Amino acid sequence: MADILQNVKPTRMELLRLKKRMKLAEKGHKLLKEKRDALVSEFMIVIKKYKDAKTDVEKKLKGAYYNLSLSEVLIGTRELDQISRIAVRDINFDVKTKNIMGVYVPIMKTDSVVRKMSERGYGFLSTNGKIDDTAKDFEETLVSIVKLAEVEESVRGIASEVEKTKRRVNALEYIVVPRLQATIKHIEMRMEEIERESFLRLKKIKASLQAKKQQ
Amino acid sequence: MEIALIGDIHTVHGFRLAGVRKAFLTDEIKGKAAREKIKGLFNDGIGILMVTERGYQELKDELEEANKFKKGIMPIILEIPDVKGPLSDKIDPMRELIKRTVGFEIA
Repeated sequence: MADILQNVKPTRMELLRLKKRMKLAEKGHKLLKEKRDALVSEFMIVIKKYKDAKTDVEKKLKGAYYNLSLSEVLIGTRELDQISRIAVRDINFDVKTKNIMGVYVPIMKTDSVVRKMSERGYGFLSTNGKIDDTAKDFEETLVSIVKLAEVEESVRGIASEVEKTKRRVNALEYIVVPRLQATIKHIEMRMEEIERESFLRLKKIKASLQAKKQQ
Repeated sequence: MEIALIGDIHTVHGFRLAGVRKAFLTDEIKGKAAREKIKGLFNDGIGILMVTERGYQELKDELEEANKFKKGIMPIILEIPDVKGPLSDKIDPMRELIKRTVGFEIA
């Protein structure tokens, strides 16, 4: 049996108030449960996307690292260092946010990441084709990485929201509602008791009045 | 939004070739001033911070602290495998998260 609420007077007013609260709690519980189910189904979709994005990144990175090692062997680490310093530029990508069931998830646009060979900025005389391949691989990896970051953040956001909602649903189901029920029952019993008491009192008074009359 | 990288020399070379300007070596960042450096990165308008798995383990405390105090959802810290491939004995935090949220493991 759940505890009853403290500081509740056994009055009809209080009973009505509690019944109203009970109705509200049950309504909230139902709504939150629906929210939780919707979030979990959304979560499943995002997890699937996350798995795909993760394997994609790992596969692309592996290929890129392979080409990188070849470039290092062909051209030398120091040369590669210089070339890589020339190739840097500002990467600007737009981030928008989307709202899934009250969770803000990022949406990123990656149009400008993959460049043409001539846009990379290093000269062709001192470099070779392997460098181009490597740069292209890493650019493509970068696109996948941005995608992965987007999905990973959605997974995190939705997961924390699912947990929050779950906690609320459980709190309502196992604490708030039983407690209200117990209190309502307590008040009803108390009021019946009072009724019986006053009924008995009336009878007694009636009896004593009758006894007085007969004297 | 920009992309930044903390990693070993090979990762730095590779992603510089792809155009990532803010590519730093783990050795450059770690040490006494690691906290300030990472904080500086976080306040620099970076959208994604890639960290190699090995680098993440070295800078774990600083990164997690900075991550806790960031404003909004940016930057997103993303662990990537380095040249030697993914760490095999690592517990995937995402896997744990999924397990905790859904209640069972999804293959």
